[in-house]
Amino acid sequence: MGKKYKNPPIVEALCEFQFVPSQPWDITIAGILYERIKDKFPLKQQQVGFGVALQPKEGGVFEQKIELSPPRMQFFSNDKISLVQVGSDLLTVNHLRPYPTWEKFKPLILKILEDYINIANPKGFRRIGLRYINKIDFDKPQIELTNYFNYYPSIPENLPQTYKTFQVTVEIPHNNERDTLRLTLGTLIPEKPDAFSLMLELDYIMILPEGIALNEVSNWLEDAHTTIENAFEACITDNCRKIFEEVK
Amino acid sequence: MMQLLSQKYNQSITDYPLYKEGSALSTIIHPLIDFSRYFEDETSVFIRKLKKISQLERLYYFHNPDEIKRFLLTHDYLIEYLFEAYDRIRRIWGENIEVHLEYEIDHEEEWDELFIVIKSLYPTEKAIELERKLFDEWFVHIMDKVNNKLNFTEEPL
Repeated sequence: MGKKYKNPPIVEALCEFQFVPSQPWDITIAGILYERIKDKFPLKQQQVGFGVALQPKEGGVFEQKIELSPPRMQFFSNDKISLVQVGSDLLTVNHLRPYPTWEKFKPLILKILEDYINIANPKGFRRIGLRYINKIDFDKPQIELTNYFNYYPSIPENLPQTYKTFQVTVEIPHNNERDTLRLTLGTLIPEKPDAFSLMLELDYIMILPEGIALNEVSNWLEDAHTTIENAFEACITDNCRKIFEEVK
Repeated sequence: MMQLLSQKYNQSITDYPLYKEGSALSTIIHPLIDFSRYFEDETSVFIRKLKKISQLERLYYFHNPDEIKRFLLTHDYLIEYLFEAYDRIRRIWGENIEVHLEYEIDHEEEWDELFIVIKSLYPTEKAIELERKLFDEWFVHIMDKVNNKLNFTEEPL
């Protein structure tokens, strides 16, 4: 069990599943899933995405081609704090602030996933990501990063030790490179003037297609969550914990 | 694909230069479509919003970027209208324009608003005519949805 905070910085937690299809994508899957989850996620919205693909042509040139991504359906709870997104071989369960605790979020993920698998009958997981996005607000325009974080950018000594914006990302392999933990720390536009905001994002990803079987996802999620929780605590100092107000 | 594009923008797909019969897709990519690719795969609601604001900064000249971004974060329902506005403006005004965003605030009146400022070389009469066309074709349909937080005007370039 990780530390509990009175003011946790989580602005969004999400779990994204990309699937290896067993059959061509069937557009009715989203509708059938909606029928099963509409009690909790009654508000629906369609999102259409566009993409630009590069297609090789004769002479080594590339032609840009506009492609329309298959539409993604979003099903929101009445308070719009949680949502389910369904696209072509894609399922995402998101929870915005206030985060309901892992003990409540994990069963929700598993329930939606079970419904999806029963409907779509995918062959396996192509990618899984458990992602926590934290927003940390300071009521001053600049901070000494080392006071609050153990993970930060290092500016060489002969350069000015100031910054306005930054973003640092590392990927740390786990489980013989089947998984990776992606850590990102970066600046955000603060909601108030003369303030300072940072985003600490922790994304644990199964990058090896079919690295786990469909029935192993509960254990994978538990490991992913534990890794993220440990990484989060490793990235912050006690000064940060004071902002979040640890509950003991 | 063409049907969905038409539904999204509520117009004929052939209004888009890219989709004219026989046109080479390797020529000009419609800015709205071009920039959409960067956030279409994003599944985080929070990050998607940030990316959209970032892409808006590539479409518009942000006069006071920090204030505008802060305002958009707290009035995120305006983001989609700003993409839509840019698309409408380019179709009505053409290419040789600059589209600016300005954040105006009056602390005494407790009033603030985002202004789209369209700067062009058109003579005053023509510019006013186009401004009216934009109002009639687009703004009149959304003005009750933007809660007096978004407006537009035109200025000489």
